[in-house]
Amino acid sequence: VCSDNATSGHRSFAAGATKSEPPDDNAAFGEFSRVAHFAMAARRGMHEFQTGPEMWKEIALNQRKWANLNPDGAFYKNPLTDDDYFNADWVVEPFRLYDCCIMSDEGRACIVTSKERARDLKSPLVTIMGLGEANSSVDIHQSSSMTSPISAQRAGAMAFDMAGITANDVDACEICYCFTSTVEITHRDYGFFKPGEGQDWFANGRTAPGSEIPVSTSGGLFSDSYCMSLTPVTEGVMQLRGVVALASWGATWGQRRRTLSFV
Amino acid sequence: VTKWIAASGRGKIYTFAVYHVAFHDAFKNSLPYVTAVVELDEGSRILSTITGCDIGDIRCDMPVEVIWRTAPGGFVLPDFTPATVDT
Repeated sequence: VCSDNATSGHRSFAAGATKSEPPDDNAAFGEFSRVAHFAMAARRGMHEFQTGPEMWKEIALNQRKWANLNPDGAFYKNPLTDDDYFNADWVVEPFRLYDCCIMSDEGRACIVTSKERARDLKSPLVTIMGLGEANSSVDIHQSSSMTSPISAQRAGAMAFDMAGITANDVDACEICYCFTSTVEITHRDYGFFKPGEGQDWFANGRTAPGSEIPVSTSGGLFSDSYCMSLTPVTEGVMQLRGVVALASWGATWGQRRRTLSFV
Repeated sequence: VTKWIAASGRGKIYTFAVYHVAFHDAFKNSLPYVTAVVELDEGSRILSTITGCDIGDIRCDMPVEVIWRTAPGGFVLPDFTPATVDT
């Protein structure tokens, strides 16, 4: 279960940017907010892998295209253009507004039970094929490299191994992230492409509706809702059951009923 | 293991971020400004700020050196500025 009232209430990890009290000693240099931590990691990625706003724009626009199809999401029929992306204000450079996830008030829940019990229920069975978990340090300033594989690589390897598949077998991804650059590195570290290849991988709407590999089909945490990992997990389950509202989603990939990747 | 060393005050910019919005009133008159992770020649990294140059000229791996700044309240802080001599 995840419920959140970030819009009307308070979120602890956003406090650095929304409360006037300095969070730690680094504030003496003007450092505030998690956005800044990820912005610095993204900047190093730009330096090492020639990634950057051109690719991140693709990620933001493709997710918005999915959101435009989702009547329950925050940006139904509300498109995002290249100009919208590049003309938006900086949050902490190199992140502009649409590189960042939204905040929302909502709750979501997912029930996990045995296959035997699930088969007796009304809804179609959605099976968890594999699981993995890994955690890296949250103190990004002291990490030995801000661009080396994140814990998604270890967690992903565990889950793929348990499921007996590789990234090549995955038909669609419903992932959890906070910024466009983390969508990039999460897919990289799951093994969808190698460091430095992200620009090509995300090009030409590859993750958009009607595309080769749908990513964040509700609009995700940028354009549907920010309900932590429950946004992607519940969307994935609904897609696999075929219960989401729009037939166009099913025609796109939901009817294939194959393999889905959650983060 | 933690130990004290005498650092040269020289290093290079590992990465940086540019603030165009002040998240605290104390920085309203400093916009835009930069925070950076500086990798010292001795190997340690330190969170600091970069001053004394155009923000558009700042790059990762750029050589920098310390300049000491007395902040309001009397705190002395290690800022960094582009190096006068390559390190």
